[in-house]
Amino acid sequence: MEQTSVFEKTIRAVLIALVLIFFLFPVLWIFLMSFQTNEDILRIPPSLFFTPTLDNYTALLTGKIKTATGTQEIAFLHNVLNSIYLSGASVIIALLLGVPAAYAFARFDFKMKEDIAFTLLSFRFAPPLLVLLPLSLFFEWAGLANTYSGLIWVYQLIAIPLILWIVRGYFEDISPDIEHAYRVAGHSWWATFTRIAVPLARPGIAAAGLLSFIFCWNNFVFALILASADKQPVTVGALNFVTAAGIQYGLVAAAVMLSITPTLLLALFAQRYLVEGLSLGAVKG
Amino acid sequence: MPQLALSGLSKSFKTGKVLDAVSLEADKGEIVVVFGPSGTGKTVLLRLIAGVEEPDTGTIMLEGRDVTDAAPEHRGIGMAFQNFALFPHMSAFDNIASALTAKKTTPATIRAKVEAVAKLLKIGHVLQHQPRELSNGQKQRTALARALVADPHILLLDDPLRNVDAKLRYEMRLELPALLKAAGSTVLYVTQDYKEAMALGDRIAVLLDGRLVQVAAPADVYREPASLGVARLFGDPTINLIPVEPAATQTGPAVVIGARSLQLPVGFAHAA
Repeated sequence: MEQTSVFEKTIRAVLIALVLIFFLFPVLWIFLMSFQTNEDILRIPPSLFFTPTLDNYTALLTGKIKTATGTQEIAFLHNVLNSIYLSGASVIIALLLGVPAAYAFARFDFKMKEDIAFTLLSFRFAPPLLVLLPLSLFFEWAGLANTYSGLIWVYQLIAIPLILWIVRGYFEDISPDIEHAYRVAGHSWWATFTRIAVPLARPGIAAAGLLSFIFCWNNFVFALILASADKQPVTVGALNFVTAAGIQYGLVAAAVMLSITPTLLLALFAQRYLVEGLSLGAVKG
Repeated sequence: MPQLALSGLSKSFKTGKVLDAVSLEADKGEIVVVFGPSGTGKTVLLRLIAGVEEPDTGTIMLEGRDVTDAAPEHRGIGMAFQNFALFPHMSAFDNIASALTAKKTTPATIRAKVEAVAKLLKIGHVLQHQPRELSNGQKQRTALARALVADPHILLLDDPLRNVDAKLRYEMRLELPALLKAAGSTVLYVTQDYKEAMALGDRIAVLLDGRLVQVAAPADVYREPASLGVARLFGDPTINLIPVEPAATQTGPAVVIGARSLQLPVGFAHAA
């Protein structure tokens, strides 16, 4: 058994607390902001004591902002629905394409295998701005600009490499003999794929699906350029609070809170899968 | 017509040639033990027959049908893998039943067959367990049950006793011959334990460096090994080999060991 002294425990607790404060303070601050009026937020010096208000949330949920220049219509809830639809559809399509591809990369030898796999991965580290201009011109030409399908297509750049590389490691960890045994027992390769390989790689598939959902959800720049108001997700929707009457910080904060909630819940719910999925795939057992 | 006929099977991997023109026949109900030290291609030979690997040259005939290019699921064989290869996410029952579910079989028939073979192998009480909850011996029996349950005409057993403890190996060595005979399948049994080979085989096929050097009944392989290599593989302790010089003396052929000379029967005259 590992022996830990009181001193060591204290140091550990302090260090963990420091890390948590560093990462969670912005979230906490925005959480507090979301209950403040713009005047409270802009007060100098900032104060931790204020009269909480739900105005920001009611404005978002009813879709009407009262500003100095009058009432303005916003469609924030519509943005949330867009985000759910875009990310959800993207991940489903990416899973349908990426999981079989990952299996092919894990099990079969073909020409240029590693080159193709690496090229797919390289989509993840090419800066999006590099492809945005040609992409937006192409989207105009192809009639894909400002369509859900266009955005979902572009989101595949984010989701497929992630799914491919995480799930591939999982498939590689399954002993080929387990699949051979199922084939010898009289089952087709398709049955072997769906009933042996996919169930055994499920933690990895779940983790990869979840991560790519979060990455798609967080995407800003593709949606900003390639879609207009009625197709935009929450990340872009928050820009609407930069109004003629000034930046509505309280509304931005409330919007941020509302937009991180779904992914936060999802991540909390699937935390076990995430950690297991990401670490198991990486280390050969 | 032999139940199983291999002719001129060769297989190379990047590291070199593993099997070199292997030809072997087995009759219905016969147990042929493929014996050899590790790394001589025994497992590869079984994998070729199972269809998990493809041979470079040569043909594989099962019951008179050329299956060299057939997919594993179309060969109708049963196989027990050396590492058991149980499906980790299925219970022992489902593992065994997997050999039956591919064909059109009613759930009642599947249940009856699985329970019968489980009873035979004494694993009836652990059928609902997941593989990780089974002991090594139970895993080995489950893998064996999965290979046996569909009554395959050809049964391939890849060193099924390798990963079990010594006591169980001893027990299984006694049980297996009766079990395999009862199944009535033609069995190809891979092992690197000569005692297992002698105990189980109707015939022993000795594989050395990818070539079959002798195929004969156990007693013949033991008494009249085809080569020094084969002789070295059998017997415990291993045989003593002493270099001698043959010489022709007045009294007939003899061998000289150091200062002594040993008379040989007249039949050895050609050696001197």
